[in-house]
Amino acid sequence: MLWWNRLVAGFRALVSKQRRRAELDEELHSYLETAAQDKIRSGMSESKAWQRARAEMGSTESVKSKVSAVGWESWIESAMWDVRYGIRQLFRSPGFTAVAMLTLALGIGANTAVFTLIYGVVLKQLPITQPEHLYRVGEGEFYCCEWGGLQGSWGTFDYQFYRHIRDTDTSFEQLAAFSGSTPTFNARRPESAQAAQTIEGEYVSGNYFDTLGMNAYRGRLISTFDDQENAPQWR
Amino acid sequence: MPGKGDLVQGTLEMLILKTLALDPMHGFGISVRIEQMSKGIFHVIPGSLFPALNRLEREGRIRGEWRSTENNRRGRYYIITDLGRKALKEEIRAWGRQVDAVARILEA
Repeated sequence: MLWWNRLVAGFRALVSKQRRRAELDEELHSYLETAAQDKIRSGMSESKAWQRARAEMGSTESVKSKVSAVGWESWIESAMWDVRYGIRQLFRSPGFTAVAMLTLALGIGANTAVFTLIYGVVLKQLPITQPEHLYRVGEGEFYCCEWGGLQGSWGTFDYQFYRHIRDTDTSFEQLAAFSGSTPTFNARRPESAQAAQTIEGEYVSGNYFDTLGMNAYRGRLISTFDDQENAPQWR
Repeated sequence: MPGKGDLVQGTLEMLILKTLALDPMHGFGISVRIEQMSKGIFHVIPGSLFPALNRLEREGRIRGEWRSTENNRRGRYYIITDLGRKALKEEIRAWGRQVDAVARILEA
């Protein structure tokens, strides 16, 4: 419970700071007076007694600051003084302040930009279960192509060939296929009165999402079950 | 190293508690009593007395109370609490162990 007492005492001291200070003032003064009278009683002259008492006490300000340094809340107070002092100094030399702020702003901005780039290109992992197990098979610069059709250097496989490796290859757990272009589709919710909307899409094999290890937030994704002739229509 | 008049770190609070266990007292009274009981060896200056009193009060081991002094002025008297008596007992025991241990080492 010691820590609790200390905590409560700190808050009390923060709330009644003025009163505490006045009380401590009075207490120190009465200490001084009692000490001086004690010396007079033991035969010292009055002026000598006061002088000695004051010398023994030292500076009352230093005693007071030592007393208030006992509590944890004095740390808050001194931090606030430091902040205030810092702000005053900044206002005193606006030129320096402007340069310092600009330097910081540019530095932080540049760092953020570079990090965003590195994060996007190098660090960020694909949102799939085991990105380190995923490979794209093909030839050419991009091992096939995704951005709006077949551009630059590319290599594609036909569907029959895909089916052949999928069924015979043993070096991969699964092999999924996606189309070399991104066709647009017209889609409309069933029983909706709204006109069909144009949606960017991609033809993929039935095991595509299973291969990536993805799950649907709601409903279900297509599976190998859908990837066959006469598969039931899916709503 | 503590010489004449220097207190071992942390013992001042124990001595204050001991002093107050006998009688409620004001700050000056405490320092005089400690000086008397130590036969003039320990001299407690306000710069260490008042921070120690503040610490003890915050920890609930003593509480301060304004009363009128012998010469009819207002003085802040300190009174030991139950928590303080318990702490004092504990500290006296710990101190005894330490003294024994140091003595054993020095006599070896």
